Amino acid sequence: MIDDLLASLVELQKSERVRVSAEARDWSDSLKASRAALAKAGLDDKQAAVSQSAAEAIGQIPSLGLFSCQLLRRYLEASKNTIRQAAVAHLQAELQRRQALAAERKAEFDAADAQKSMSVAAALEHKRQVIEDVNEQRAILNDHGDSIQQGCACGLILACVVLAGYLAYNFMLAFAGKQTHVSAPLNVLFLTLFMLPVSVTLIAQMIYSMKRFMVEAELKARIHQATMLCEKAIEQAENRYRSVEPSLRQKRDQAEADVQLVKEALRSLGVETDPAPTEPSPSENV
Amino acid sequence: MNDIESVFHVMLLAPSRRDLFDFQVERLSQAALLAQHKLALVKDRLMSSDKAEVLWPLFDSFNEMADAVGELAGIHPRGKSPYWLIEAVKAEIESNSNALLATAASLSQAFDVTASNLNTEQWTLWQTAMKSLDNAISDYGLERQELYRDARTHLNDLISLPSIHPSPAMWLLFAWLSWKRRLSLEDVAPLFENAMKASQTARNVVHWFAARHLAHIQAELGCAKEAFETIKSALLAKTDGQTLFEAFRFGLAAGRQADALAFAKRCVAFSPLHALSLLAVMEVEF
Repeated sequence: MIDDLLASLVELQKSERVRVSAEARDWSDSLKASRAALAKAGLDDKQAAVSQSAAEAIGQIPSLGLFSCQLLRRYLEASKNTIRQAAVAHLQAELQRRQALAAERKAEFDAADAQKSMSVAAALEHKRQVIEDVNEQRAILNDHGDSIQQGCACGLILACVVLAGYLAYNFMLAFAGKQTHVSAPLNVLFLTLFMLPVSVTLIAQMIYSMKRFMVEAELKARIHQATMLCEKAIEQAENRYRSVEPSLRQKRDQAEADVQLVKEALRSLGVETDPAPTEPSPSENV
Repeated sequence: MNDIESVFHVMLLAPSRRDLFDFQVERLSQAALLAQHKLALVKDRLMSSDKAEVLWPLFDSFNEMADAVGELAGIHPRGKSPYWLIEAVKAEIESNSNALLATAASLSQAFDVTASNLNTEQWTLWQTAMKSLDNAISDYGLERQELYRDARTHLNDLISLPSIHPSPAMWLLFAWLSWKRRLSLEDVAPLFENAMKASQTARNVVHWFAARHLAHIQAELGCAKEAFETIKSALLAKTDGQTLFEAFRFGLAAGRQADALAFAKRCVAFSPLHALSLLAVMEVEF
């Protein structure tokens, strides 16, 4: 009886070898796909040792017995999914790691850019404040100048009034037929009263003009200095940024490219990483 | 008998997945040792025949599978079997454990359904019986026998109530407790028949259990043909490796060798590990 049992198991053995061979092909295809995906992302196959054991058994299928064939087929059937799931899990963990790194690189790049912009903005702000300060001082100077101009105008009016008085007095004397001399005390008084405001006005104008000239020169120097400082600060910021920007950009682009590689690897295993764009609802279209 | 008794007991105890795993490894390793011994006895004779070429791989694969089971049971040192084979055998055993747990859950559900259809008086008796059964399962020795007796007495009271129409689960439990109380097999067989008849339409897990137990009892009573027919009825309710194995045994005992071999092939195709049990019983039975 045991002979009959073994004979019937031998029959099963033949069909089982065919089945396990087919399963082995599927398993190999799945393994290749998983390994290719991992290689694309530059990752090692952590299941390599596990797969190696089954791969060796697959190589011996033509000489394997019934029970080994059955167990191998069932193992391959289960392992097919396990290998893919392990590869997907490995890739997803790597994707998270690389996305975090890419975000870090982008933040570094953005921080350098922001630092440059801040330095430029600070330099421009300083220049603007200096110009504002200068304009303020110029306005004060102008106010002061207006007061001097008013004083001078009053002095000249007074001189004109005295001159008119002097002319009127001399005209009346001439009309009365009296001769008078310039050195007469009253004439001297008139002329003195005339010359005094004129002289003061002239002197005040001269002093004001000189002071204005000096202050203007000083203000222009301050603006010039502020402009120079601003340009220097901007240039320094630009230089600093230019010195780090290429390496930061390269690191950022590299990190982003690494992320894309893992995403492509996951897509090759049928795993979509980017959320599908949501279509607008019919009510929104209306 | 020991086999079905231990399986049913373990299921009623509803142990953890790990306990079930160990329980199965223990049973399989014993069967593997016995089967290897049986094969060794016929090996020389068969290897000198013209079938040696196809039988070698069968023998080798059988021994590899048996060694892997032995390695899991701690009989053989670790690392002897290839990684994939150990994993495959573990997966097979885990799958069997899961199937046992699922069956236990179905049986428990059948008991719950029975309880839900009872009135207060009936429910009290049912609950008392179930409580005694639960305690008996987790107790041992004389105490267990006492608790079995209590549970059976309560169930007997319940079934004897004029108001009740015993459910299949009730009959199954009553029959099983009667069997555990060492009632004669002639007396127990009709009780399992009642359970079978009551569940004839549903053909559920209760029917499957009742039919398997009845088949075992019929085989013990020397009614091999009836046992074979009964186990075929069990297979209509639920097909699994263990029941197919029993069909093989009872088929052989009934002199239906062709049918028995067909069941053996189905049994091995269902799970290769059952080949261990198949070969282990060969010379014992015949």
